[in-house]
Amino acid sequence: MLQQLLDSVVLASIYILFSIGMSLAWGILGILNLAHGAILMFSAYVAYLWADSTSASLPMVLIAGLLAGGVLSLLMELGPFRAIRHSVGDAEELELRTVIASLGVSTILVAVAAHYTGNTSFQVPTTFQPTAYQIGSVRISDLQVIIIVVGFGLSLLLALWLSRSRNGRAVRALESDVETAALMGISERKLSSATMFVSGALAGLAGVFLVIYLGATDPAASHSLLTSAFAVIVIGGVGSIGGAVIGALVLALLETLVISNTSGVWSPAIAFSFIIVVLLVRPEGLFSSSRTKVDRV
Amino acid sequence: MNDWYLSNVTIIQSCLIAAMLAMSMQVTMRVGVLSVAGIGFYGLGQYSTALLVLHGILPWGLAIAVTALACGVLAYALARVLSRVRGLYLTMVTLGLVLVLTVVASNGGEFTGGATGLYGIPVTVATWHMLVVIAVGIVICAVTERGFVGRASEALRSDEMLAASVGIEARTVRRANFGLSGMLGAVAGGLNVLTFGTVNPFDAGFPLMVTILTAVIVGGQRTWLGAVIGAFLITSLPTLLSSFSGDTREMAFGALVVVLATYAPDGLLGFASAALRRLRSSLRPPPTMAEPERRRELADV
Repeated sequence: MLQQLLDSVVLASIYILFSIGMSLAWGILGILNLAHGAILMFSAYVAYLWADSTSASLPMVLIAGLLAGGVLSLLMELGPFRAIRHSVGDAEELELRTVIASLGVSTILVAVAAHYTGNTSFQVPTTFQPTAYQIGSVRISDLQVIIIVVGFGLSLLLALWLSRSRNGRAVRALESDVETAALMGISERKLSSATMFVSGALAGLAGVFLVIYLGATDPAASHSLLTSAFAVIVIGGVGSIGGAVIGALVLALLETLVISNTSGVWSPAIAFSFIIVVLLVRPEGLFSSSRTKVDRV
Repeated sequence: MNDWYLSNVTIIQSCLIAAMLAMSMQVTMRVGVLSVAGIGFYGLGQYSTALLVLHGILPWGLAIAVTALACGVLAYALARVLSRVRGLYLTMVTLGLVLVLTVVASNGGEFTGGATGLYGIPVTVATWHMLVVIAVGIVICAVTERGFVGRASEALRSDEMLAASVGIEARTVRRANFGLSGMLGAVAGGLNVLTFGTVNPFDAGFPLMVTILTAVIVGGQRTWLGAVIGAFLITSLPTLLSSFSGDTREMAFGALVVVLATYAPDGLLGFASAALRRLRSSLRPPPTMAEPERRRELADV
């Protein structure tokens, strides 16, 4: 039982890294990035390509994934997202078009990775060898500790940055009203680029962790990951870091319990059944932030 | 002509089925909802028709009709249950439902044939059957695109609150569109099963959603005609250009979707009609005072 709890906290840390970025992009910029799962997978793939040619250490591979994710996400912002945002005023139209564009990007990334990997799974080889320690009845590896520390640490740092720093406050101003924020001298372009870079970088980091932790991944995994992140966001509320942490813990615990108590064939349905139930009961998420008002009529 | 038809019959049939599916997605888009529930009903329609025919419960024509009606009612009920869920949340919920259905179908044991699905379903549908069914579908879509229902949907698409304030029954229109979408999806599924003789739980999955959405975006999301044109292009092009297959096809479609969503959200049809409008107005004598106003209004529609 304690072991399952530990495993689910590790899984939750990866979910946190992955879903915070998606949640922030949606909350702050109104972009639901359906390519987020593909970015995670593709960053891991880039890290794999890079690690395959050199014998890289763990930090180097993590940085490679982080940069790849950040750059990919930034390119999406500088390309389609910005063009769409500057051509439509209507919030719903904007949402719809960015979602469609991001689905296109996702298709490209998955297809490119599938083409070069032959649609099979790949690993990220590093010089790092995890060592496991036995503490009582629980086995814990140093990799698990690193994942937990990075996952929870980065989310804490990001939350502090958003609430305390000058730029963080500017980002939150952007979240509530772009035009007024611009009148106060806040550069929407710079901050939205930064937000998207951070969002993608976190996904890239999560990707490398996930592949090293699980051993391998394949291009098609992007879709099911995306649904997990969406479940986390729905539970936690859009744009809320604390909510995402809670959501990730809940989802990871549920998944771990179901996988270890049943044959595992139903596990892909968990995240989604959960989303559906939550949305039916509370359409704005369990821990809603004030920003996204779901009920309009 | 006949030789050409015989060697391309599979593509033609696939195009027609894709066109039905694209219409099913377009029908919800015209009330401003990006829903992939139509794909889920496509899967349901496949299984329901296959099971009804395989177990000899109904002849194939009735099997499709019953399936279509049941799925239409189910889709209407679904829209009722989901009436509190909006916008992108609704998109993700429908996405979730489709993926859950896939899991259910692949774990359904002997009844659904598990992960391998069902096969050996008698192939009874000919191309002319499909043409008749799709013609009926087109008539329904075209009729509901005009007149009061069309205007109500259009109003709902641009502003739900405003539409409700001028007396449009927002919920009823939305639910009716969902019902129609489910029906079209189910019929497409039924036709597909009775044309190709097999069902697989992963038929109605993520790749199909992306393909059909691509079709609607490429053709034009505003009208049924755009959806149909898009479906024909997306389905036939990869087969006609043989080098253009598998992953290359996916990459090209992805790129096409990004470019169109960014620069031409109304697709090829929107692009063509804008060009036509520009051509017409350049041929006409210089506008009077009221003309620019009117033209702006038309452009908004």
